Amino acid sequence: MGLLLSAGISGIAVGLLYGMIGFAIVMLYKSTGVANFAQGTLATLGGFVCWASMTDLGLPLWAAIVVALVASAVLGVAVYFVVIRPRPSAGNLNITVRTLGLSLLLLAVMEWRWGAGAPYRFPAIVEGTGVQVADFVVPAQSLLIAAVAAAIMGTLWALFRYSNVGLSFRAMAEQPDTARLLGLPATRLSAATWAISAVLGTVVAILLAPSSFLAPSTMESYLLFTFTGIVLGGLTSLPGALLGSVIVGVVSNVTIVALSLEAGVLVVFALLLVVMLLRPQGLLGRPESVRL
Amino acid sequence: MIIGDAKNRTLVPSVAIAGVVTVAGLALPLDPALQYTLIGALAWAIAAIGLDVLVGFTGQVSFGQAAFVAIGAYATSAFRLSMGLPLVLAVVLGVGVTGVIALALGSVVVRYRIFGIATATLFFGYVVVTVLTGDTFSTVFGGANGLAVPEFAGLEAGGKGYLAVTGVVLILVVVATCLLNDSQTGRAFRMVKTNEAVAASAGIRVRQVKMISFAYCCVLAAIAGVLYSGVVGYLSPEGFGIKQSVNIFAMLVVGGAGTVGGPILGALLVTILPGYLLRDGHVSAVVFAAVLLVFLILLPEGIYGLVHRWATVLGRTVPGLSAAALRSRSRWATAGRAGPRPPAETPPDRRSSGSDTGGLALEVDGLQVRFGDFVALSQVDVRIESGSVHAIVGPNGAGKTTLLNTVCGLYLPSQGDIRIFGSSIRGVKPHRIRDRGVVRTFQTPAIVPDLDVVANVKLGLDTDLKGSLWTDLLGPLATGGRERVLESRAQWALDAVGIAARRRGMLARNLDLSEQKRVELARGLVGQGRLLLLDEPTAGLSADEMQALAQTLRQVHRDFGLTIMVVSHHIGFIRDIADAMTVLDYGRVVGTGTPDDVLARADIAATFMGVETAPLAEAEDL
Amino acid sequence: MTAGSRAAASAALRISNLRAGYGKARVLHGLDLAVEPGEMVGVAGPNGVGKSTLLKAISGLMPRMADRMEFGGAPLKQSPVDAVVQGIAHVPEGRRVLADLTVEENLRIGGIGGRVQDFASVRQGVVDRFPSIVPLLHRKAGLLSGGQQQLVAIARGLVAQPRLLMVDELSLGLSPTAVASISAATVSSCRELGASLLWVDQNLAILGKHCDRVILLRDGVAVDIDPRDTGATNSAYF
Repeated sequence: MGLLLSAGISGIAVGLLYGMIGFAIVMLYKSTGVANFAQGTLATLGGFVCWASMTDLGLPLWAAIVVALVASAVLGVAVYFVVIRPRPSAGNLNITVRTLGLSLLLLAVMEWRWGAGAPYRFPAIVEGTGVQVADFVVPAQSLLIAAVAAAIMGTLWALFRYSNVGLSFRAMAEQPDTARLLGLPATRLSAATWAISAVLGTVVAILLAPSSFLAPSTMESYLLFTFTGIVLGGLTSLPGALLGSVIVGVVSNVTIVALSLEAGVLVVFALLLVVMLLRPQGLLGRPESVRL
Repeated sequence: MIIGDAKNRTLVPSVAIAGVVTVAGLALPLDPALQYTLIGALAWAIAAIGLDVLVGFTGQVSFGQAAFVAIGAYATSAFRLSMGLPLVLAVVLGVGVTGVIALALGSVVVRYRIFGIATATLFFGYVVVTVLTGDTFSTVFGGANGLAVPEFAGLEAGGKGYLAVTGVVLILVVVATCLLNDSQTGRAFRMVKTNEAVAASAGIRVRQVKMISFAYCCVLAAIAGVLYSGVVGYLSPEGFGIKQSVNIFAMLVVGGAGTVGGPILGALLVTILPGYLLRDGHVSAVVFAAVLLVFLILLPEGIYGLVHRWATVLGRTVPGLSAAALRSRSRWATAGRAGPRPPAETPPDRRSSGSDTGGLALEVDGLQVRFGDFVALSQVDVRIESGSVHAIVGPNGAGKTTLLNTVCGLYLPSQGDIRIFGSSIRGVKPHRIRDRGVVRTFQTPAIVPDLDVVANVKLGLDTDLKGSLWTDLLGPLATGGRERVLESRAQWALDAVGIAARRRGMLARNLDLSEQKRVELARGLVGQGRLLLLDEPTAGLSADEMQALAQTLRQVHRDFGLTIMVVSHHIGFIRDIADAMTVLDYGRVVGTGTPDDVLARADIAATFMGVETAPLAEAEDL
Repeated sequence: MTAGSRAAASAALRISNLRAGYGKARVLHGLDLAVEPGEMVGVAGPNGVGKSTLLKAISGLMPRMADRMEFGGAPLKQSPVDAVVQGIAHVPEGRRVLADLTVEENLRIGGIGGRVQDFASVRQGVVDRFPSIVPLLHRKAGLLSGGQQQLVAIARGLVAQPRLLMVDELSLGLSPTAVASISAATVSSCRELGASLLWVDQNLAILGKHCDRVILLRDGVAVDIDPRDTGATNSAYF
């Protein structure tokens, strides 16, 4: 019982990580109509940049993290201008498949450069055993994840709420056409959205790597669970993505500990299908008005 | 959608591509590694063609195609190994099992648009690999160690014989797919891709069509899996992961989605380039992904589309070629009309002919429609006599289109009832309402731009002359009779709305606006429509075109005894054709009667021209 | 007068031989239009005649061709961002307020894209002219009535400090009382702030009442009309 409870607690932490990626994906989806399937590999690449800065350049962990975050912001902008922006007339499905192609490319590059020695041990940002609560221990890493997630979500919330840039993002996400009409700089905002997405991904990868090790395909299953969380939450709802992701994190962690890895995957998939069948608009989404 | 045009009639070039590759493979002395890769490529081409039916023709998506290849391969092999079934039976069962799983997954995912389908299929792919790798079924599927596939009787795995079998199966798949795409089912695919709501109101069972497309996609994947398993002789789960699903997607993107030949070219490139030419795994993966991205960004129509464009340019510059092309096109355009055509005054099988007079065609009682907090229609009552022309008018935003959408079932009323020819449509789905004879046009002509005119009109007969998937796969052998009826009725309907014969072989998007509106009207007339709902048929037309349209409508109304409900802003047009009219404003009925009486009322004139009168009763508080 | 209104000097709009449309449906066939500084111009005509297309073409939201397209002596580029910077604010058909944002946030959004130097004073100037907005400032715009949303959309246009305000279908779906009060507030604000107004509406009478000049769109070209001349208007509508 204690084991399951602690699995549930670390599930919340993992769910928050999914939620941060999901947040980035939903933000892009709402403002551009594109589901970013490269989010996972972008995150992993950020993790590798951090790792390489430490091992190849000999930087301390904190400096490596700064390098990785800056590098991923630049990469996010580059991806937007090189891969996403050209030929918007090709349609959303074409652009969605471009993100898959990008994902393949980044994966191939990582395999080429780092594949041979993977998986790598990644240093934990915090040491120590964590906090004793009743008869089980909340690991230090989980506490860190919760703290970072809270800090990031708080910052984003304040940004969206109080800054002009944040308001512009919300306008773009709600009505891209109206945002254009009001003279908001759509290109710059989209580029910034990609930068933020990539940075969020890197943060997640750095938080995740100490427990899951670092390998080019680390994020594959995480991305799936994230997408499941997004569908659960209702596709276009930012709080929904967070809620859905935490549910997926807890459910998967508990079933993996109680049963097996396979069972965890199957149970989350079953959860996805059940929600799709019974509540197609997701937990916090709005139902469609046209029926077919 | 992804890649430019979905062309009609790709049969000849597509079979040619499959045939040339197969014959070349058989005739040339290939080195064993290349021959082995080629057979694999042909197998993957089958899976890619299946995915193309779903993506390029139906406008859906699947990122789990490799998982269905795996299911077909593993199931067939397991039936042979664990149960000792003979090859043929094992293949039939293996492909069948895949189809059943596809239908089960399909029944969930077809409710969704791209994001949901992409997520569910991607996840499904991951689940399949996890299950195949895991220990639970390792006794049957071999787990992470993989599964050795027994050789197919008498066929050396990488030999010419195996190549011939694979090539023949590919050609059969190409033929069946081309026939399917040119059939009633295939036309329904295109219409679902163009606009699901329009398809539903034209009588197409949208979810069923998506399911058929998904199942067909997965069954081809299973066939590919069987052939692939035979040539590699050994199955291991990681070969069917998400990466391979993306690879299959890459085949149709690179080759050209929305064509049948394209995915074959794509499969050859995607399989042979990394697998044979670039043997260094890492470099090859990088090059491959880069090539895919370049195609997606710079050449979204793929190789097939590119060659087609070059051929068109070449045809225009070389006069002899273009004359030949014209000849063949005009042959197509006239071929259909050679058959018997019913005289215009007696529409074929019109069970309602002459009977739609007296009684009410449409009764709307106390109708309310809301979207969240917004009340679009409230307390709306409309009575339309059978056989009459009834106009709905009112300013922008008055709820006219909402009323039409509710009558044809796209929106659900929150209060009140609608009866069509006496029976309520409460809880009846749009395509069933179409079955009762309610036919609808849209403000922007809702035609399928990449089908020709005649094919667009045939879509209106989907309800009345339903094909089955099985006959549609067999092509003219099985559907020839039905196609002849469809063709003659479509031609008859096009006669009725006055589309010139030489325009009928053109793709619908190349027509001008007034012709597109007429084609849509013909699609409504061709079926057994009794109540015709026309949304702004006059919008965007010139005065002359409007008069000609009024003439056509009067003609079809008289000839077929239809009931017509028409939304229009053009009062002159309405005076011209309507027997009665209802004026809507702010979602309520503010007047009803004959056009002359209603338009004589001062308060009605106000709703059109905003002449100031006393504020209406429900003055909205700021 | 506030600081905001002084900065909003008006400028003339000059358009000749404008052609625009949606794909196949060419809607405007060579339209000529001039709006003088400070002039209130109404554009009437039945549905589908190209009224919205005209406004979208001016603000660069849709592809268009013209022999001449100038505002305040400078050519109009095909970009909504530039249009806003040049001082053209577009209040779109259907209001399109940002439903999940509060009214205050909607106003702030209106001031981001433009050429506003001192947003606080411009905003205050606009809010003073629309006192009925004040109690709504902290409510979500999506929860307001149609009339309130229209008011927010117009105020959102005005905080961009436009030299030309374009309003598409102000009266759409609103009750006559709402239309009357919003129209009056809009026109008087434009006059006080020194902006010209290009106002598209189906409601001919309301245009005639408030505008200096009314234009009728017919067959994709513009004709000046007297809104009280029922013969001319009947021929367009009936």
